[in-house]
Amino acid sequence: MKIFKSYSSISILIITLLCIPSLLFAKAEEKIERTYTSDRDGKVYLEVKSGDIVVNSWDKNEVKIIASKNDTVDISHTEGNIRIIISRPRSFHYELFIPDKAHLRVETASGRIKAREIGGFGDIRTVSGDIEVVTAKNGIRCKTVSGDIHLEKITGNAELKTTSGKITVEGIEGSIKADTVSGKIEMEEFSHAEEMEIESISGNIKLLGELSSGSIYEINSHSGNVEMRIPSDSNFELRVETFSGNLHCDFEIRVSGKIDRKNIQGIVGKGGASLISSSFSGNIRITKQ
Amino acid sequence: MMRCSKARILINDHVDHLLDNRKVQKLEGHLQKCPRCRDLLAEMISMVNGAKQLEIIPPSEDLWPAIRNRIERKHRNVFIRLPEKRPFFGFSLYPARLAYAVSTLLAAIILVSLFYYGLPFIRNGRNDMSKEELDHLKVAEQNYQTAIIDLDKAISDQKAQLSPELAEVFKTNLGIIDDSIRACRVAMGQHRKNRMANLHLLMCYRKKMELLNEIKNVMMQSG
Repeated sequence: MKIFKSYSSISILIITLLCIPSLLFAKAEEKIERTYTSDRDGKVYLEVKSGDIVVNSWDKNEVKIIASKNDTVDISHTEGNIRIIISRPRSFHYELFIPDKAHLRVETASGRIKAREIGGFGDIRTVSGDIEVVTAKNGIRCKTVSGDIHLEKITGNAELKTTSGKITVEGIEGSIKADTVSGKIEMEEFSHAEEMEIESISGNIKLLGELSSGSIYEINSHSGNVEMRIPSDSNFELRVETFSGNLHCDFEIRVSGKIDRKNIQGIVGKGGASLISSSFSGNIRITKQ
Repeated sequence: MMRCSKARILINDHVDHLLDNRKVQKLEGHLQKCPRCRDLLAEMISMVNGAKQLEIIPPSEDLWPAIRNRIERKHRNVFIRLPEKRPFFGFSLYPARLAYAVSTLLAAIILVSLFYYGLPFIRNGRNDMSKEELDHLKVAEQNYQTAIIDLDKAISDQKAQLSPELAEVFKTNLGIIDDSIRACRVAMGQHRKNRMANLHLLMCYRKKMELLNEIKNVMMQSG
């Protein structure tokens, strides 16, 4: 028993010793910083094969990329715009600084992307990785396959697409188009949307915000449930229908078309906004905040 | 002798002073003999006169800006969908395979056919579809199926390029869509003309096509 104990201690020691060089090597991978002059409101494009990317903005007419010394960095620079393409077999953690009014496009095949304080339009794409954007001032487009999309404090229109990931939005002033197959969609504090178009196959949809007069809100789900919570003094035209789900509406409706267990058409308050929702087997609930 | 059904149509036009003399004479001949149509004419004239005396309510202040915004938005969307300037903001061109090109073309045709065939029925508010509408949807469905088979062929040879995790995500989600298509088909077996079942079936086909396109794009990137 004593021999066994000493053997196990020795093996742990050997494993630890073997790990040290690789840890040292990982730590030793040297970072490089490259800075380029650009227009304050120019376009910045970053394409990375694989790796996490963090984007921040600053009040300088410069773009800075922090990459690995081992990377092959291909930079092109045209009329105040910067295009950076990094080819690298292994994953790495990249940092990008862009001018505070610049338009951004970032792509990676595999990796997370985090962006903050984007002044121009943001176009962010990854295949397998999450996307997180906090504060975008001029609209955003996000696309991932298996990752989640999380947005906060967005001004301008948002176009969001994922296949299996969850979409969450906290605070948006602008139109929204969100699309998923099996992921959930949750939105809070939406306002000033001229148009909202949300579609899911099996993911549940949960919306909490206010309707703007003259705007169109269209929410379609196949088997996912739709829940919408809006202020109790909202005015809108309502059309909800389902094939086999249940419908529920807290608001008093002046019926203008049909009303039955599967179909409600009518006007709430003075009308103004159009709220259209349809499901195949999912339930639709419209409740007061 | 004019029938009441024909007379009712003419009464509508008569109230709006749209009938020529010959039709007016025919209608008056009918009205002399038919008290019900006479009553209808009197009722319509009184309605029209009543409507003329109604106060004109001006539209709310935000109506015209809202309409203008929508028109401008549609106009903007046309430009948004134009091909982007690839040299600066885009991937470099990948060598496109013929199958990809064909499937993309088909996908575009299908989307147009959905727009052409599907949209008129979305907002008509009826539960059942007419035979003509069903025929149109059947054409759209066949086009979808063709595109899906084509896309499936285009990607099936190269599925190995995908990482196992990603392949699993695609497989699971294609399975979810296929289950949804089956659910719609079962519903249509019981209520063939049901508008909701038909429209959701088309939505599922569109989703499947979009997902297959997504798989194709990911393969092109990784290839």
